[in-house]
Amino acid sequence: MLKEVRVNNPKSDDLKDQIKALYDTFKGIKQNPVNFRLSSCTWMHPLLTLTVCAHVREYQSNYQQPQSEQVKRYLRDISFPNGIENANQLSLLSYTIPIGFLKKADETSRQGLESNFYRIIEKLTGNVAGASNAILYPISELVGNIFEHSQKNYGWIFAQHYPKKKLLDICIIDTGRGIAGRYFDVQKQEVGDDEAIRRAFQGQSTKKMEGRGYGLSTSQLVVRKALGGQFLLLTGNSVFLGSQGKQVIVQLPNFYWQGVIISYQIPYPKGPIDITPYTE
Amino acid sequence: MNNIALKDISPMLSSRDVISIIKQRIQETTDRRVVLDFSNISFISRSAAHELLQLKDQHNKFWNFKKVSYQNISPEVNQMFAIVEKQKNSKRKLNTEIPEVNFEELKNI
Repeated sequence: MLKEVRVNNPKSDDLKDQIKALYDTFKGIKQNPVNFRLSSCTWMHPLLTLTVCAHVREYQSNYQQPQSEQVKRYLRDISFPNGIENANQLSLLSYTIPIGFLKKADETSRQGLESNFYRIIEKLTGNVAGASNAILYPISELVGNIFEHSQKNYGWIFAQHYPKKKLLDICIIDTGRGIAGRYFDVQKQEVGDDEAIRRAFQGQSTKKMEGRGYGLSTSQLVVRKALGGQFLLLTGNSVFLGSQGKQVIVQLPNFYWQGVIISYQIPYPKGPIDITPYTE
Repeated sequence: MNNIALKDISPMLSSRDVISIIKQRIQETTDRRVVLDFSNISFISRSAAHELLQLKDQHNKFWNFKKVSYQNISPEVNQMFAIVEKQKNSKRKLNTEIPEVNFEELKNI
């Protein structure tokens, strides 16, 4: 008999409320299969949706359909929980972006899926000078990290846009060794998840090559400073949450995610954006 | 001279993996001059730009067998190359001041 886990709506779209809802859902679960009860969900945000989706595939968890017909239809439209694996399944004309299940082995499909995903995001956010690089820079870096660092050959990406609020939510997840695991494997340094996040944001690369180790540290700056968004990174038992002016690291008691969860929320760009100052 | 239209490989150069395909195309050609044509490439990721610049440097500075050049680069792609060049020469600005708070305090942030 699987443990029943009730999935609740966050109080608002704000990432702070989304992480609280994620914590309430996942505390005490760890890597065991469970039965997610979506019955009371009246809306699904990307952070919770994609984490449940990853848990279902990774740990053979089950889920119970939501009661709301609208949410059921939405989950069907975004291909929950399996996601799509190639570009043919992604319509460039659609405004609903399905969950992308990215696999390293199938390079051509992944390239096609990523490219089409990026084109939809570009279309949604309009034709503002510098916006493409600003929005796609963090996505490409963070997706690249899955295949370069996690030691897993797959990961998930999902985006939700809010046309009335003119906001875009993006979530990227892997179930790999996590950031602390990477420091341990490569540098033989045992650090806690909070310290591992701090080091990654300082740009302390596990690689010794020139020009490496910029991905995570600069991506969060581009999201927060260039785009005026919120950025969340969760690994193991710690989470970083940052907005334009504030940033904190929080340890989550009785909680553990094996891998990395990244979620960020950005307003649609209104004026020209230059990411250069945030990428040095 | 061999002209490689990058859009035929991928309309967006989003990862280091895609550069390995370009690398292979360069290796396969017997021409000593290779032009990478960026027409209709609207985005290159930082990682891909880094990999491509390394590839160009290897050919032009060290291997001295095939000359690799670029053409039809959009301002967006050009910006990403400039970012990578700057990162190669910059000293990292470390973001050390990230306060740690209890989960209960999260609601007050």
